[in-house]
Parts: sequence; C-alpha cells; structure tokens
Amino acid sequence: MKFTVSKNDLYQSLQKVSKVTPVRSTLPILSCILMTTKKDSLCLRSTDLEITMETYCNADIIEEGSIAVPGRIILDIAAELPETDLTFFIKDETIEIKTPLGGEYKIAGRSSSEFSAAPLIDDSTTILFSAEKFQRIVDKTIFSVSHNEMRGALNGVLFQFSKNQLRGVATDGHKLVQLTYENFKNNTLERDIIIPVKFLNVSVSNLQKTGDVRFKVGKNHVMLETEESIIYTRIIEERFPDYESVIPIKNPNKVLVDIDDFLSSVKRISIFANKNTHQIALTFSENKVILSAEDIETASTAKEELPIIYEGEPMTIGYNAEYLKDVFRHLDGDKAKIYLNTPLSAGLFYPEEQKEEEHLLILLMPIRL
Amino acid sequence: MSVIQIMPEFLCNRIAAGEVVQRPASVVKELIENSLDAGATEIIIQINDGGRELIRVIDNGTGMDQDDLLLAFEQHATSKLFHVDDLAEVKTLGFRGEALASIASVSRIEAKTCNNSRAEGFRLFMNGGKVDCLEGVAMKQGTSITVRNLFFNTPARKKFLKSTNAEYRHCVEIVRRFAISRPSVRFHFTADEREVYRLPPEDLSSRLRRIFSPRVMENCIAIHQEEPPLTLVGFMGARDLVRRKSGEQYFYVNGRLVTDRLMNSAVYSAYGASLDKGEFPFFVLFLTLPLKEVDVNVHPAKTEVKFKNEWIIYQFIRQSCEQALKHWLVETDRKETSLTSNFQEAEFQSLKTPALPRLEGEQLTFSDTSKNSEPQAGSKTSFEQPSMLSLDDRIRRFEKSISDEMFYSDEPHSITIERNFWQAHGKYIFTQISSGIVIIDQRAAHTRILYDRALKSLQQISASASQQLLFPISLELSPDDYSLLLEIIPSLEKLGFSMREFGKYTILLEAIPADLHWLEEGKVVMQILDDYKASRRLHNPISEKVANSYAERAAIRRGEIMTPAEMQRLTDELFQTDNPYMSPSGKPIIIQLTLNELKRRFEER
Ligand SMILES: Nc1ncnc2c1ncn2[C@@H]1O[C@H](COP(=O)(O)OP(=O)(O)OP(=O)(O)O)[C@@H](O)[C@H]1O
Ligand SMILES: [Mg+2]
Repeated sequence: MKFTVSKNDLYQSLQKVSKVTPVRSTLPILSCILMTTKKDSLCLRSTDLEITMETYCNADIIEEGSIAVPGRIILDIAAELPETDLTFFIKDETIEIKTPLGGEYKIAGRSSSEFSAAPLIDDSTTILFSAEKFQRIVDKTIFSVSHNEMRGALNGVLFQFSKNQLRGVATDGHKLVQLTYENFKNNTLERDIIIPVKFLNVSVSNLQKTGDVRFKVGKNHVMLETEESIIYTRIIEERFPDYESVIPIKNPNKVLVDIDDFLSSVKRISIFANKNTHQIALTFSENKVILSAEDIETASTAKEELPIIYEGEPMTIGYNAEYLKDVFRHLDGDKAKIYLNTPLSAGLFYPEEQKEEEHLLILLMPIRL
Repeated sequence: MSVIQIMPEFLCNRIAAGEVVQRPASVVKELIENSLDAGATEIIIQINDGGRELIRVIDNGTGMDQDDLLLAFEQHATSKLFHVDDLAEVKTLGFRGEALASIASVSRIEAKTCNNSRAEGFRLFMNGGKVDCLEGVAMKQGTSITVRNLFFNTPARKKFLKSTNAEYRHCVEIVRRFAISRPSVRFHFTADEREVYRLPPEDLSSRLRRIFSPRVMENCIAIHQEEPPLTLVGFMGARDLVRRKSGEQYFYVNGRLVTDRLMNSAVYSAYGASLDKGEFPFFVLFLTLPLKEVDVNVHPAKTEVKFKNEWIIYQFIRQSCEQALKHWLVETDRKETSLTSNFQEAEFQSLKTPALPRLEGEQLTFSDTSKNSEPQAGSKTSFEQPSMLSLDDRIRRFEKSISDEMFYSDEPHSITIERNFWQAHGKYIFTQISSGIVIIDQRAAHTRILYDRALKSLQQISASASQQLLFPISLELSPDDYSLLLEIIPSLEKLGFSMREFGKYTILLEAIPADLHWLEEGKVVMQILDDYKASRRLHNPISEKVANSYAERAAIRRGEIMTPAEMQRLTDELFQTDNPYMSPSGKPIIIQLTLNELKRRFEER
C-alpha cells in the first residue's frame, strides 16, 4: 500500500474523524484510524463502536490497501509538519511516512481486519432537509438531554418526522425542550427516532452551515451524509416518554420578562444559592418579580427585583438556577413568555416572538421550596 | 460489737425480691461483691467441678466479729442499709442482706473471719442454713467463705445445672467482670487447682490486656468523656472486634456491672451502620453519675438499674462513643506507621509549631493516648479538642495544613504548593498535605457528605428542597413493602422525595431531593426500602437508617470521572462533616501516607 497526500488535507480529515475516537478505551484498535485507499482518494474511518465516521481526502494512490494507524501519533506528527506532500509506504503492518525534505517516520499499525466493518444500512429511507434546521434542533435541544448514561431514551434527542412537521425533543426528566417546524415538506419518512447525543455533536461540528443534509434512516441505524463525510450511529431503541401528556394546558399565570435582564439577574442571585440544590425563588406579583436565594450553610442571601408584565395571582415558585440559566440561554429575542400554573407544576417558557415556521417551547419543573 | 442489723420488715418489703442463687456463678458473684464491699485489695477465688463441689472466696477485707459472723447468715441482715432513705443512694454492691442467707440455705458453709491484727478469728460451719458449730481460729485479717455441695438439699435445682464446663465458664465470666471493674484489686482465680487468672493490681488498660488478648487492646479506643455530673470512661473495640454473639459488652454504672439494653443500644448506635443486625461490638465502659440519679433496687440479682433521666444518659453515652469512634481510623492508621511516628513527633517538636494542622494534630494527641497505659489521663483533651473545633476552624486547619507545607517540607522545591487534586481509576482522589499525601475514597467521602446532610434535613421540621419530576414514576409494591414504605415515607419526604398514593399498593414518586440531578429516582426509593427491610432489627432510629441507606444509594459511583473543581468541592465538603475519616458504614474515607512512611518504604533495602 502506497499513497501520497497533502499534509493539510490529511490533517483536516484526521481532525474530523478523531472526534469520534474514544478518549479512553480498553480496545486498542479503537484508538486507531482506518485508512483505506479509494480511487482518487483516501478514506479515513474512526469508530467508538456506537458511532462511525468516514471522511475522504484527495490522495494520489500508488498502490491500494488498507491499514489501521494509531490516531494520536499520526495526528501529532501531522500537526507539527509544514505543508508538504507526505508519502505513505505500508508494508505488513509498518507504516513509513516520507517527506520530500528527507524526513522519515516509522510507526507500527494494526491490521485493517481488526477494524469492524461499517454498518450496513439496509432498507433505508433517505430524507433531505436544511442543514440549518438540523443544526438548530441540535443547538436548542441538546442541553436538555440526560447526562445519566443509564437513562436510555433520555440520552438522545427525539426526532419526530411526520407529514408536515419536523420536531426535535429532549428531556432529562426535569426540563424538556421541544422545537417544531411546521410546513415541513416530507413525503418519505414518518417515524420517531432517538439519536444519541454524541452523534449529534459530531455531526454538527462537521456540518456545512447551508444547504441540505441527507439523512439515511435504516432499521437500527441512522446515517448522515455531508459533502466530505458520512457519520453513522445506532438509534436508541427505547420508548421516549409520553412528553405531550405532561405539558400543562391550563396555565392562568402569565409573565413577560426581558431575557437579558432576567438572565443576568439569575446569574447574580445564583452565586448565593445553595451549591448543591442551586435553588432560587421567583416571586411574581403585579409588574415585578423578586428573585431571591439563600444558603443556610454559608449564611448568604441575595435578592433582586425586576419589572415584568404579570397577569395572574401572586405566586412564588422555586427553580434550580442552573436549569433556569440554561433555559434563558436558549430563548431567542428580547423577551420571554412564562406560563405558570402552581408552584409544583411545570413552567412553560417561550420566546415572545417565535421564528417563522418554528415553535420553541421549554418546560422546566420547579423545586418545591 | 456488731455492725450487722436485721432490717425492719417494711424495709425488706421495699427490696426487689427474687431468687438470689441460681447457679455456682451466682455464689461467686455474691461472695466477691461482699469482699469488695469489705474493702478487700486481694481476692482469691477457688472453684472445683465448676463450683458444684466447692466455691471458696478469700479476701483481706475488714472481716467480722463473732456476732456479725452469725448475723451475716441471717435473712435480711446487712451492715449496708438501715434506712429507707439509704435505698436511694446505695454506695455498696450489696444492700439486701440476702446473699449469704440464701447461699447458706442451699449448701454447706465454712466461714472464717477475722477483724483484727491479733489473728483472733472465728470459724463457723453451717449445713443447709443451720449452724453446726462456731469456734475460734487463728488467721490473718479478712474473710474466707467456702461453699460446698451447692443445692445438695434441693435436687430439683441441682438438676438444672449445666455441665461442669458450662458452669465453669459462667464462673470465669463473673470473675472477669469484677476483675475488669476493679483493676486495682489483686485477683487470683483457680479452678480445680489450675490457675485461671493471676492479676496484680494495675491500671485498666493493662488489666484488659491481661484478661483479653493484646490484639483486643490494640483495636480499642480509649474514651474519657466528662459532662458533669456524668463521666464515661473506658474502651471501645474497633470494627475488627465486632462479634456475631453478644457477651463482650461490659457496662458498669458506678462500678456495678449491669445489663442495660437501652444503654447498650446507645453504644451500638454510635457505631452507626457499620454494625449490622446481630453484630455486637466489644466495649468496657464505666459510667459514673450521682448515686441518687440511679436506682439499683430493681432486680433481685442487682444486675439492672433504672436511671432517673435515661434519655439524657442515652444521649451522653451515644455522643461520647460516637466521638471516640470518629477517631479510631486515625488511630489505627497511626499505628500502622508507628515505626516512624515517634521519630516524626520528635521532628515536629523540634520545629517550632504553635498549632499543628488538623490532620497531624489529631493524630499526635491520639498516639499519645494509644501509648499511654493510663487511658484516663491523656485522652481527655484529645477527644475534646476536635469536638470543640468549629467548622471554620476545621477548614482553616486543613487549609493551614496545606499552606504549612513550605515550612515542614524538607524539599527546597516545594515552596510553591498548589492544592492539586488527582483522581485515580475514577475511584480515589489524591491530594497533598503538609506531612505527606492523603488518598480519599471518593464514594465513601460522598456517602459521608450525603449522610450528614440527610441527617440534618431529617432533624428539620420542614422538608428539604425537592425537584419535581416531569415524568412521575409509579412504584408497584407488595402489600408488605407498601406498609414498610409507609413507615419511612415521613423520612423520605424530609429528604426531599415526594410521593402520593396512586391506586392499590402503588405509589407515585413525584419529586426527588433537589441536590440529586442524575439519579434513577425510582430505583433509589426501592433500594432504600430494601435496605430498610434488611435493617429492621437494627437499633438505630428509622430516620438514621433512611439517611444511611440514602447516602449509600445516592453517592457518586466508583468510576465516575471528576473534574478538579468537583474534587476540590468534595474534599471541602468532606471536611465540613462531623467525621471526615469514616463513612457512615464504618469504612475508612481517608488514608494518609506520611512522607516518613514513603521515605521508609523507598529506603527499605
Ligand atoms: N467478705 C466479707 N467481709 C466482711 N463482711 C462481710 C463479708 N461478707 C459478708 N459480710 C457481712 O455480712 C453481711 C451480709 O452479707 P450479704 O451478702 O448476705 O448481704 P449484703 O452484702 O449486705 O447484701 P446483698 O444481699 O445485697 O449482698 C454484709 O452486710 C456484711 O456486713
Ligand atoms: Mg452481699
């Protein structure tokens, strides 16, 4: 196996695929990147068994072949080299890299047969939609995905493809985000799939910002194709909780607040909240909200007042300040609407003005004070 | 001139009546009590055939005159109690005037006594309670009572005796109890002419070392707690000495061995969850309190007492023991490095150190007590010191122990010390302190933190902050589990769980403690319920069981990767807890490796 490749091209591709490479792994092969020659290009592949990513870079293929290269070392040497042509000679499992200036680097690789084959996506349906929408769903929902690896369905974002609608939903059981696109042109795929977080993160960082993304959805896998790369993952095959039924319908208390003011006030107040519960209290009354926190352990208290428009009975509700910050960071525009029922029921948070064809709702469960 | 008097009838009636002599060991007990009451400093005990054939107790006490010798064997004859009022403040072990009469009625007695230095004594023979003969005899001052053929005239009673061996063991246990309670008294005990104990006058710890194995004492913690008018002195066994059987619990009230379930459970509960049901720790504890605070006249065998304010005593014992236990870890840790510890102390002393940082400070005072053969003397301050430290002091001290690094270290480069935290295997946190390094078990540490926090919330009136759940979890229970859950729901609610009934035997979990963000909520409740089921027979209160199980179940798992900031926080919070050294289940949280220890290991050939 022998090929020549531009250092810059190779380096860029290596950086992409190495995002999938697990940081710690008991399987040494997973820390390798598989290099396979194609017609006029080199295919780089990495996997953590859950997600697989392939990317292509232009190369001058002299002799075909396939080899697993230790990821870290190849990335490090590529980073240190100036732009130049690199020629790779692979004999058995030894990789030799030569530069025109006489540099010679040798490392031991692993047999490509150790590398698991790319998943076969059979019976797949392809759906095309704007990269922007995909990106936005990921951006808006991902903070609500559960970090507890044991939560199954809650470890991913639910994508609901239906006739005229695309919706992304994520929840960790304490908060929930739902971003809906109406007038979604879709004739091919009507299905709910839960996509693991890591896949979404890797995808988004690889994605072009404009144009369409191509989703290929098979029975157990989903695949995303962009111009230079393909990313596959397993779908989380668990039942997503019935989130629609927990969204309260009757919410007589309505708040309108300035997002920036409110967020910065929460940030200040939260400094004084208990470090374990992060609880802060919001007391709503006509035309104002009082934000307050106290921490008995450190004997600290804080209080601020903000003007708001409030319609409803005066009430006090507690929230985890960290969650509240997250919620407000994900609301666009100047003002936010908050709909409340009781101090124990979910609060509904919306941007005052929704973007065109888009509907964003964030649900946050309170803390009983 | 006789000092013994026959009690008036109304006084007799006030004394807890019942069988005095049940077995040879009861005789041994009563005779030793009499000798101790007579001020003996030397007591010789002999038994043959487990005491069935012969029991002899010889003392060097005051002795009796001729009249008293005869009176002593009369019913209700005593020199120790004359007025009803005296009953409220009994100073002696005996007070009923019952023992000798009861013993004499079921055996053959030979009693010799002399109350003067002229060797003018008397000898009395009795048979089944009747005087056979009284004669003069020459002997040293003191009393010797020989009891032969116990129960010879009550065959039914005799049949109930166990094997020689079993009766022998009972006798040994009785002698042991007295030997522990009076280390200043010389005891010599032989059974069938073979020596069992030969105990010179000594202090408590050497007495215990002689009676139990030296290993026992190595694993014991000295207690000396004073909270006037209460004093608790003695030793408690560490976890290693926990037994599956009871019997090594020695609890003395004003020098009298008593069995008191409540007070035993005060001690047990100090061990917290490190004690499973059916496990019994070793302890020797002497409680001293004003005589009028305790009624000894409640049980014919004088082995039970009644405290006027039993809950105050309970709390006092429990807290004293808890405090003492807090430090056993440090102490054992210290012992492991004892080779270097003396050297290290000397080194510390030579550096002018006004206040030693906390970790070292405690260990130093502690090693003092462990070396000190007189536990009462040195240990008092060592226990009071840490308990008196305020939270801030503790943190400051720990902080200081880190900043003091530069003064203590012999390495010139270590002037700039950062408080670094390093996690190994997702399990242990390493950090540097002035005298070396400490290794913290992250899970055990978190358990301790949660446990303390849980206990605090359980003591509060209002429930803790509780995060409502978007998707309430329904828990289906068996009828048994359901009723058990009802018992612990009040505690769970205080911790921040919130649940409501949802159909038959089904509970809907609607909220969880706000400081837990990643739990599998339903599972935790079920686990706490299971733990509670398993611990039903433990002595500690429900809230404590719940706190303990909650801490165990909700603590960070082994393998969880932590950021340096998280490790820092964990460590900080750990040192704000009551006992940063021992997890609620009795496992060590912190292991310390001193520089000297490290040095020693590296330089060992
Ligand atoms: N070893 C002894 N030396 C001196 N006097 C003794 C001795 N044994 C018994 N006596 C005297 O005999 C009396 C009766 O003893 P006895 O054991 O029967 O009753 P007690 O000790 O007064 O009360 P109790 O029945 O609770 O033991 C004692 O009060 C004491 O005066
Ligand atoms: Mg007596």
